[in-house]
Amino acid sequence: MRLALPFLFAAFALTAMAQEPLPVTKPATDGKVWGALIYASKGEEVDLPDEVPDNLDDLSERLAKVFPFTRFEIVGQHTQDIFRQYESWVVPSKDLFVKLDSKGPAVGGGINLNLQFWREQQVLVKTDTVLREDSPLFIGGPKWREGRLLFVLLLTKVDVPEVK
Amino acid sequence: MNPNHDEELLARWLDNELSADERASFDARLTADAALRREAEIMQSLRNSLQSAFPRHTEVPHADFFNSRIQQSIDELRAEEARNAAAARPRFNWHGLRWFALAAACLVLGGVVWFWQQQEGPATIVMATYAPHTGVKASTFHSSDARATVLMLDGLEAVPPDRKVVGYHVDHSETDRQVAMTTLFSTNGTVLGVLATDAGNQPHVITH
Repeated sequence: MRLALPFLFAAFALTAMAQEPLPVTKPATDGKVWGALIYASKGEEVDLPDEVPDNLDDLSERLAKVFPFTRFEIVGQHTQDIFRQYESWVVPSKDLFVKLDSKGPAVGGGINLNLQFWREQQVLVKTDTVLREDSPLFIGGPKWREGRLLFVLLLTKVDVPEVK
Repeated sequence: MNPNHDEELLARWLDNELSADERASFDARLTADAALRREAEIMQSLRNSLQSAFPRHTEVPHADFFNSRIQQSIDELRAEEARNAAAARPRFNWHGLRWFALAAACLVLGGVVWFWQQQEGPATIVMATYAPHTGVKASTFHSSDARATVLMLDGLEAVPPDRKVVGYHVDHSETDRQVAMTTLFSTNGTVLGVLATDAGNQPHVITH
């Protein structure tokens, strides 16, 4: 019994240490994006939810200039960090989501990104994109029912200095 | 007798190149062979006609003859070009004015585009696209009306109409690089779903 005590004490100490949360270091970010999955159809207009960024107050009107629909309903939305050295997933829905890999600041402002648009486990398109503030990206996705699923991506914040 | 050999003998006979023995033998053959004799007469007659039309000897022009003829041709050509250029030149240079007008229009258009861009700000750019699925076409353009850049995907398979497309209103998310996982939270802290990538970097969205 006497010989077993130190081992028991060590085991207890290890268990106690494992219970304590380890310090978390927040990964470096290059910016922040807002992504939304939208169902576009022909019908009466609907109000946009409060989560829509202020500079997209007229999102429905702007979408209507590109897509032949009158009703734009936000199915899901997600504001996500753009990590500097790691992939960022923007997931407003399990059906359609976006993966971003930052390549750093872009000349003239914005962030260089490798952007992938996914549908469940299938990548639909891969792009090299310079995403800029106040300049959303509208992605025309698959048809669904009488309308179409759209994805909107907006760079809401840049954490890296502009490259001239 | 070999016909080719007869032709050779005949040609040499016409040119007076047969040796004495060959000539004696060929003359005997001409006497005995009427067809050969007739052919020889035809060839002789043709030869005489050609010789009378073209002199055997012609004096070769000296070098100055060629140089002076070439220079004369060059002078005549230049004179003709000068005459044509003078006739074609209009009093008023419409050709130059057309280019000036085009350049001015380009400058004005470029100024308008630059001014408009200053109003809108630098736009998002999609520089390259790749759609792995054949039949899917990706095209991009910038819409000034929408003040947005558009990535249009045509040819995608439609989502079945009976499928319920579920969206998340994500308040915040946490990414754990150690386990390659992104957890999505609602405003009240409920886990909406988890996106995890497997060893093949395939994403899986797991929900309750």
